[in-house]
Amino acid sequence: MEKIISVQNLRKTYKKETAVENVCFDLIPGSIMGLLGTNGAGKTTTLKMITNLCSKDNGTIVIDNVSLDESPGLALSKVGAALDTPGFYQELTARENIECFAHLYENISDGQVMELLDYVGLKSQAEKKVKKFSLGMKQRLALARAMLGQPKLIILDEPANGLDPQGQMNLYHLILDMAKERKTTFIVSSHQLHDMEKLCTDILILDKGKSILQGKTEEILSETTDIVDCILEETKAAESVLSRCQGISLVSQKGNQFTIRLENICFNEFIQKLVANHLHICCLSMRKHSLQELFLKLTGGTEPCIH
Amino acid sequence: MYPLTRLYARKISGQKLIYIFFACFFTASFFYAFLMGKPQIEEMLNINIGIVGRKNFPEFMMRFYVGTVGILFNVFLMTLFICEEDRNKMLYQPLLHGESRSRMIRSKIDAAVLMSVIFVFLTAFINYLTAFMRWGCEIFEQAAVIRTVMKYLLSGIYMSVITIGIVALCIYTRNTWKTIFSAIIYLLIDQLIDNANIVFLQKIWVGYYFNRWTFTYEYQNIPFSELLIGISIMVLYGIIFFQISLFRTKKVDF
Repeated sequence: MEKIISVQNLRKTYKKETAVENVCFDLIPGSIMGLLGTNGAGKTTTLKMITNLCSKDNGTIVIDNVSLDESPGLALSKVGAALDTPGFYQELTARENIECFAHLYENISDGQVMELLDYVGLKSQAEKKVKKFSLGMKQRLALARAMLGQPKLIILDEPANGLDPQGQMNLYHLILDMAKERKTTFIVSSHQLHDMEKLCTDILILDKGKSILQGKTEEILSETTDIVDCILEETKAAESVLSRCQGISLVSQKGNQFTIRLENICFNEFIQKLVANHLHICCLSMRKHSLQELFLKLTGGTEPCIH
Repeated sequence: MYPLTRLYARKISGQKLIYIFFACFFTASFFYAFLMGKPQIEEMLNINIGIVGRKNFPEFMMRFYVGTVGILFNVFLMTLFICEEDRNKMLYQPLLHGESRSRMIRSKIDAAVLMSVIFVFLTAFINYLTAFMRWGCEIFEQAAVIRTVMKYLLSGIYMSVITIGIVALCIYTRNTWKTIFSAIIYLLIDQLIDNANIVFLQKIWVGYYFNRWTFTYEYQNIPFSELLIGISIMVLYGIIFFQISLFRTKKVDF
């Protein structure tokens, strides 16, 4: 199948510290890859290597069949990106900022610039100076700038930062629409794991620069162990039974609400154990791991326990 | 003009600092012109109207700009243009729109050099204007005008080379204060070399020839041999500064 980007054995070290090691992935047109990881996991470094802002020690990057090493200009002409906290010419208006970069492309008219601003919901703010913009508005403007020249691949580094819930939803709808209608491919780094689970077709989780999980989101989540959410009547007795119970692990507890991961036993066996220990079950449901739970499990974090 | 160069030239010309600076420069030039002739002022400024006034005034004021003030002005402007853009994550933006690193830095240098030459001519215009306002048509003596215009052209060459050097410095340090500090060090070394009697060092120093053109041949024509060797050394420095900028830009991690 046609690949829009192919990354192989990407590696970057800063002095003696390895920032990224052996990262590999391929994406087909229209896919949305979530690049996840804790702070300092190597997400931004990976994105900067893909956009040639940062040199790599090893590896190959091919964008739409063009090697980044051989023809960086041609390869990157197919890429749009919004990295870091978006930077703009503060004294210029939103329209002027986009026009500045629109002039670097052939055949982008002023009308198309306004269309882009309309697309990201900034048409009414087009003549406002960027220094008066909120972070959320700058994020949307950065997306509009990344969309200049209709790139086949758009790279967004934590695009939901500073956006209110409404703004986040609008952004995600925008990404989904572009992926579906224009077959634009996205690489999105984010800490919004619940949203990434719904948005992304592919997932790549980095930890200390290494890829610890990658693949299709659906496949990853369907292959995970089962999670049971239950409310048990006698908290003390339930804690005691669950701590002794083999083949399970307690993910979180909020009062008498328990979230349990079934490691080596099936759901029926688990229920039988609860009944055998005379625990009264008020409520019980089974589901698969959420992306957040999986992420925390893989990166060694724990869910907060709010009593 | 290449679109990126045009964008950068527009960006530089949009800096308020330029307008403030040239307003101040006009005021300084105006006051210099009109205060001349007052003995106590001449004594205070250590100038003699008989020498620096009238047809020589534009050349006198040229030295005022190109010597130190203009270099520092260019440093401030270039730090805004490069270091501050880098800090605001704008320096690498063209790279995300398909521009190569070498194209980006060439456009930066083209725009910076273009603007520095324009500034030299702008100072020439201001100085002739204030001189005309003070002394009228007396200033337009053909030989003096040709000599002064020639010196302004040479100043344009010198300022272009210095500007490329400042761009290289900005790209290397990527820090406003380090760049300003380095420029001040350059000016001090320039004074030191100019005043010292180390002939070999002087002969290969970029600022030496400009100092000779403006001080040794003050209000006089410069011999052709001096021009040739001076321009050659400056072009050589320009090429070296350009290559340093290019090399550094290709290596830098944003």
